[in-house]
Amino acid sequence: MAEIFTPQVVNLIVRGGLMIFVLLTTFAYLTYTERRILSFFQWRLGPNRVGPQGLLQPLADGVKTALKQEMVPRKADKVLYFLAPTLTLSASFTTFALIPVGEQVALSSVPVAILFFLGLSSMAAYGLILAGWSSQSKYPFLGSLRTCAQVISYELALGLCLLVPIMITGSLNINDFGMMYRSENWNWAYLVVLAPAAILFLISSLAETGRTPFDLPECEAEIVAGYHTEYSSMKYAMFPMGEYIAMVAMSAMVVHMLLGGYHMNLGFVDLTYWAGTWTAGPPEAWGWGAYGDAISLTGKGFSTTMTFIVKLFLLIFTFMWIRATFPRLRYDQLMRFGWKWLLPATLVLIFATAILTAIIGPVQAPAVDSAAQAAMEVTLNARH
Amino acid sequence: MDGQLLAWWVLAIVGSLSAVMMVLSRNPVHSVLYLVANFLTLVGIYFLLSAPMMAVVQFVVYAGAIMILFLFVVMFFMSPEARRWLRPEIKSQWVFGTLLTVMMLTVVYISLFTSGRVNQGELEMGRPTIAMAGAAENPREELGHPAGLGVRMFSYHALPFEIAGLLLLAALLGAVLVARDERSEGRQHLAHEFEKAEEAVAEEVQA
Repeated sequence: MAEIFTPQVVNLIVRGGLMIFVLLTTFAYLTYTERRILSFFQWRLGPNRVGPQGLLQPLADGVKTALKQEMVPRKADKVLYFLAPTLTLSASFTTFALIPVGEQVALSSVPVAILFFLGLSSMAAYGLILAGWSSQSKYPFLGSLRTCAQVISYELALGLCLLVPIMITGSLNINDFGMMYRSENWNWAYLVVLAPAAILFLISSLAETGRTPFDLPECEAEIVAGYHTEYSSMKYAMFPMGEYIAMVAMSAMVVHMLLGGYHMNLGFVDLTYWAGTWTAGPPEAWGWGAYGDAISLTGKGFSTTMTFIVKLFLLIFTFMWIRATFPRLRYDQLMRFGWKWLLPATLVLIFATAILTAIIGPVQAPAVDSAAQAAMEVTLNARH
Repeated sequence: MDGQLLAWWVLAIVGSLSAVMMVLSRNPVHSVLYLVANFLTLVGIYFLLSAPMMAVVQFVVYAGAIMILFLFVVMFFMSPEARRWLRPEIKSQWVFGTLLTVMMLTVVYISLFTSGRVNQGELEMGRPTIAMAGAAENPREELGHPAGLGVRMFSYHALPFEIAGLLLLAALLGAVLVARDERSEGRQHLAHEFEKAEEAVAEEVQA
């Protein structure tokens, strides 16, 4: 078995574990942030009792949820009932294996990452659908039927929006989206199609993750709590967890599509590597060798990751802002909007992109990135 | 035993088991899920064969989109209360099923071995090597690469591709025609007529 756990594999496992830890913490504090932000929007204070400014609230919530009584409906399909929340959560986590958060700060560099991303978002939908079905009860069942129809309708627009940056960069690798925003490749004309594409992507991702204007799967006025009505305790908590992490993933995709990814290019000056020389990995003297790569954000990695995180949180704030602003749609409105407005709009956009790339020409990104990738692999191998 | 081989064995065993369970399961929702599991193992196997494009298309199109539609339809016709488990409708169905499976597998094996893509010796060692025939020097010309696939699709296979598209369009129109509810359309027409009549009456009253 020793050959299986090579330093590269251990490195990946450590990095993956770190990513999951960061995501879980992000989830906990996103619930707090969302509650606070929503209350400020609504002219109230929100949770501010537990710890300074209520900062320990997520901890208290976590303990409370974990200690709650677990109820399982007697007629439930037990296996699927337990599988459903796990499926949603693990699919949401897996998306982050594909999304680079900084230059060479990524768990993988899959050449077809975007398609994989789309596939994973429908895997998460399986969880929601099965949760409703396996509860063997009316309201969850209605909720899961709604989820099904909604996900099928909005997934199309979601995928088609992603086609715009794909056509510009000529690559299915999310890393290459960043190449589009390097000063030497950037052309302001791209914004004409990229901005609407990102906005349409944002709208359809709201529907895909079941967030507010489109949160019909859990519409409490009509179907109690939808698919998770019969869930309690930690099994319930896994659904909002999956939802929030999917939201972070979708925001990350928008950052890569429109906001320049982890690059900070202002058109005239490229600040991407502003703090590039600040940091290095753990000192050689610690003797971590190749394992040190797992936690180090060396050189460019640090500044690009920080840039990315700032942009990411701007977008997450937008998601919360939308939740505070818009009321929920009616179901027929949701369907009409998705099929009769969103989908044709994305098709028009793709046509426009085709014309634009024919005039300007696509970015020659992949060669640059694969060179960087090869360089990274060489350094990794050299250290072993 | 290296990691790839281990992964292949796990995928192969899980894939076969889920395929068998898909057929044997009496609950249609479970059948759908076993099929999804089977598709997911196929995704892994495509990756092991270094065909990422095939893997991802399998993942997005089959395991994702199509199976969600399957699940939707199955759930629509099977409410959670009324557990209508499926029962074989034809007597000794499994005999015919087995026969068909054996026949199909024979055809697949014969075509595989006569095409020379499978190395007999390596197969006996349990090593999953299907030589990717026509793997070009340039990855962009390879069929496993999205760009290569696109070029092939719109040059060598342009006509079949368009014909398949036309066929799908015809199927789509057929589905629309079947799903169209003429009675409700008639009602809408009637309602429209009523509205017109009411307006006319209102105008007359005003006059």
